[in-house]
Amino acid sequence: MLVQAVVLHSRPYRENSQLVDLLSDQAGLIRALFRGKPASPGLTPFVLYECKLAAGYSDLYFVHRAEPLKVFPQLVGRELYLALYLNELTIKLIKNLADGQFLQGIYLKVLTRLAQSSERYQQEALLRHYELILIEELGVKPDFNQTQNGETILDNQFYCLDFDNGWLKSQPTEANSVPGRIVKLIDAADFSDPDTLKYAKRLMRSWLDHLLGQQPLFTRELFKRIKT
Amino acid sequence: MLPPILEELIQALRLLPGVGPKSAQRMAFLLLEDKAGATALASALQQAVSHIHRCQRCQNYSQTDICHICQQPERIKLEQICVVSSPLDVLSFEQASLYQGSYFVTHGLLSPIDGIGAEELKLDQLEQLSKQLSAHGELILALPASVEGEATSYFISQFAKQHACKVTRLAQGLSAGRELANADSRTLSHAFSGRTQI
Repeated sequence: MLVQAVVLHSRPYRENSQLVDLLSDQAGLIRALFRGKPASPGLTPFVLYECKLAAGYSDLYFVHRAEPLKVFPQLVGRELYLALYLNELTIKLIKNLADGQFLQGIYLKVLTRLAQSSERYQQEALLRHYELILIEELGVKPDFNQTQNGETILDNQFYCLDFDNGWLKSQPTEANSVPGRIVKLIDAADFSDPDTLKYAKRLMRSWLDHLLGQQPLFTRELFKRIKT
Repeated sequence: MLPPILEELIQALRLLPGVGPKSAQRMAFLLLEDKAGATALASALQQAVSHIHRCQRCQNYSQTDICHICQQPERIKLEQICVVSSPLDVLSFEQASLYQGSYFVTHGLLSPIDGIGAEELKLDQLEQLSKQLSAHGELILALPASVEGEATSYFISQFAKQHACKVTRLAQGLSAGRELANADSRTLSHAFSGRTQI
């Protein structure tokens, strides 16, 4: 199988091999074994490769050949941490290999824009957009146009998200209540209004925590520690 | 087919880097042929495992609580701490005789996906050491030019800045004698962004 794949993570395996998590254009997230040359850097995260893959054991593939197609502008500092967050989130959320099949395009777009922009508002908007697409790709995003009872979401009404069943009418005073107008803007990934971004951050954080279960996100811990 | 104790030895030898099943078998039989050598090796291993631990100051391996480098006041007084990811890197620096300051060994690099954070690398301890440096002090980051190395360098530079201590890193790019055409894109990118005027 010939795929275009970006490396999300690599860890050394024995002396010259690596276990890599690849986000591919055809098969979503792939776990593969790559045997490199001695002292070569091997497959590197944030590089898009053309890979020739062969089926291995169970879900594990073997990378027979890998040619770099595109190297993203070098990610450093805060932008690197943001990109590592994308990778950790993707690997921890995608369990089923069929999921993530259409994710590569948006991942590459977000990565390119992260490397180009150091404007924090823009970066946060990019992360929220990616999180939303990732959840959609997992097939667990409810309808943002109507409540779980089939009622249309209204601009001036407040709603709470029941992660497993969809939106429910709520009171403005309830924790995690979101105005209907904002629900629609989040659905459209329109974060031009700072209020939308603020609500989206709070919503996505609790939604992702729900989806991750007991798995912590270590990149979040790093962000807290560096106090950026 | 082999006695269980011998199988166990072969399995244990496979822990070593580059040792596959065949090499491990050869090593095991060689050790059985040379009983004196095998006994000396077993004793040396036992001694090392029992008596070598991490230096309380720099985390490098040491037979004493404070290693021989950290015990030299003239090296500490230089107020230079070279941060490396492996004890082997300390050896490389010492063999090159180009550096007279002290070290801090992280024994790895930050890797959020693998659950390796600041705690595992004892970076709090490094932060405490950097707090003790004066304005003339320097943290020299000699970490690998990888994504994890970059993430670790950034983390250290952030807390060092808070304590107003100077942070430098080793130059990165093409290695001596290497053809440009053989350099991978990441190395070329480092070399290009770090180009200097001549």
